[in-house]
Amino acid sequence: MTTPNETSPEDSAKTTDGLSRKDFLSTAGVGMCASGLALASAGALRSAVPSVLPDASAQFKAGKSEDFVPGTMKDFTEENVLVLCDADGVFAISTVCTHLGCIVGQSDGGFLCPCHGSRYDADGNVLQGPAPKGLAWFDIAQLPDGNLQVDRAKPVQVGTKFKFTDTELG
Amino acid sequence: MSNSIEKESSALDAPAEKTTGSSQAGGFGLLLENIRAFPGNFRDAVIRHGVPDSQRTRSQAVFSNIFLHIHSIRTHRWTLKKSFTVGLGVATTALFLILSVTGIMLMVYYKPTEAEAYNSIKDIHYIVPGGRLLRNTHRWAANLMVISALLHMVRVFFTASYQKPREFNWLIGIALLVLTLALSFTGYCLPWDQLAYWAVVIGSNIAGSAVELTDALNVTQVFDIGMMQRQILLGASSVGGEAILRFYWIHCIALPFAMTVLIGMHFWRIRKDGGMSRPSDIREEELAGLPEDEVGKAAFQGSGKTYTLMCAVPEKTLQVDKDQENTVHSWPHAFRAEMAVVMTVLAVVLLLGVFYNAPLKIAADPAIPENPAKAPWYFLGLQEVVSYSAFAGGIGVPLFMLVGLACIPFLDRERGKLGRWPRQRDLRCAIISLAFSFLCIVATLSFRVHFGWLRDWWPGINQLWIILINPGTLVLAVFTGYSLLWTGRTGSTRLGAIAFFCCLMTFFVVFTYFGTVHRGPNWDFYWWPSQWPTH
Repeated sequence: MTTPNETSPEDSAKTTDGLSRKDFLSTAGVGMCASGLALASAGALRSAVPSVLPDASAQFKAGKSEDFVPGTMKDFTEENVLVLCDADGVFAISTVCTHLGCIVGQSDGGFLCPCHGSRYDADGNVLQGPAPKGLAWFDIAQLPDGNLQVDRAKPVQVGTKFKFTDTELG
Repeated sequence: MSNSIEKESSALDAPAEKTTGSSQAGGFGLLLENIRAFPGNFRDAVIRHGVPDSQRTRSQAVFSNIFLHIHSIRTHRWTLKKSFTVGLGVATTALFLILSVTGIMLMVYYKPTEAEAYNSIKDIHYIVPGGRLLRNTHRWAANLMVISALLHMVRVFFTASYQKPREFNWLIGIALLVLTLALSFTGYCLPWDQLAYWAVVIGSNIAGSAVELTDALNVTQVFDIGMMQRQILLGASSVGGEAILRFYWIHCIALPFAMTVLIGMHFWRIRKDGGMSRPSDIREEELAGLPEDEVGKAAFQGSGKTYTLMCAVPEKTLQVDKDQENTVHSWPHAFRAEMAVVMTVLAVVLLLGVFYNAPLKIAADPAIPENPAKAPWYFLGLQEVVSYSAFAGGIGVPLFMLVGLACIPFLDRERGKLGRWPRQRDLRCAIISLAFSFLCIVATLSFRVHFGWLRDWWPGINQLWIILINPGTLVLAVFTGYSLLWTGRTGSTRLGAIAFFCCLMTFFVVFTYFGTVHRGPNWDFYWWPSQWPTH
């Protein structure tokens, strides 16, 4: 390998910028090992979240339009959504507290979370407590079969209400 | 022929066997002789030394045993002082062993599915013989392990045993504390009762509470790290069967594995960092009442006799080499002390298990939260901060405390206080800091209960302000400044460290007490749980 008249491999193999071939190769080797391990780990960790999450469908049927007259309130406890109807139309409010996901209850014309005492008004706006934002409102659409469908994957602006057309109300 | 070879290889250090010169009987005679010698030879094959009653055999008892040789052959008498270590490290290890054994046994009956988890816990309680005791023991040992790990940290801090060269072991210790808490939390969730379910909901939302920060900064649309963490933890976007399986896997495989590796490193580093800490100026009278080892002592005072096996100790261990005459053989002195701690711990845990049942509420009901939904007691201090801001209490404050603790050995590089509980100046600093931090926290919490906080005064306030300024972060900021003041005024980093550590201790104790006793339904303030409204 090294002949006796060579002083040392480092001296003889100096490149122009002063990095010896040995140092370059060993640094490159360590870098390759590190990046290889990092990529392999990242690839393995990717399996932690599946491409399709095993969740229930975000959409559910809230009932036929004739079920809703002003003053109606339907509590969908499995979906954690409250569907209400007033003179302006039908609207869906989430009952999941925006603080840490407890289920809010109705109290004093608004909502109250039992876990850390967040208080909301009737429209779900925060009045008090640690909740960082108001309760979510969800999109409502009418299906061809006359059912109203709430879509929990589609949050809408507070105050967005579904209005029936005149023919349906009549 | 074969007999003599075996004798040479197996009886490495054993006393020479009696020679029985009867080979006249031929092959069968030899066999008969081997059968007769079987018990003795078997023992020699397993344990290659005689009864540990001499210096040599006592050394070998430690040195030649895979389990015992995590110890050095000789132990310093200071280490055996009850008032020094209080046996807390051994107690924590013993609890981990008890938890491992009971945990593995519980795995036989526990079923990690949404439909069966709760019922399998009921089965363990009512149907499995000894199952109730097994589960109770597991539960109480877990609680005790949190306490003993915390107290162990307190002991190590106050005896300055984190200082150079033990900085890295302090960091491993903090990692072990985090693992202990994570193990407790994931275990708390497995019974899938109301307590468990809502703890997972709250815990997973805390993991996702970075969304509070990204929302406040308006970047959630592009970078929703909170949701990513939540999905990794739950395997779904909501809490369900996938979450049970993940918590089960984390609790039974991932964390115990990490824990075992880190415990090994922790022990290894104790040896490599010079054994257990002790003062360099031990006076003979301070060691009064501790076991003595006349034989060993004479050996060191004798005419330059060297103790060959001690040469295995690395050169950095100054203290070990210095006062050899104050060491005793680990066998039996150290092992006797350790066994006393292990058996005490086992007795306490078993007694608790016999007389107190581990709690189990009604089965999980995703529609109705527990009111109040409380985490295990050691998280209630954080839950109080969580009730101001999920991000501050769930991520900000604990992260600050852990990073603060981790920095201590690198910011305090003083030497010389090693191995003794604080006295004089240090003790004064500790007492003043405890009193100061106690008053600070009580004042802040009283203010919060009476006058509310930012959101109550300005309902439209940006969440960022509440994340940054709430009773939890406020007192921690005051404590940091207070500790810096100690260092600035006295010129001692050790005093600053003591002030900081004492403040954190008070923070943990008072907030935990407050969350446990004074918070009731809707997280309202009550003087006593008996005043909670019935519902």
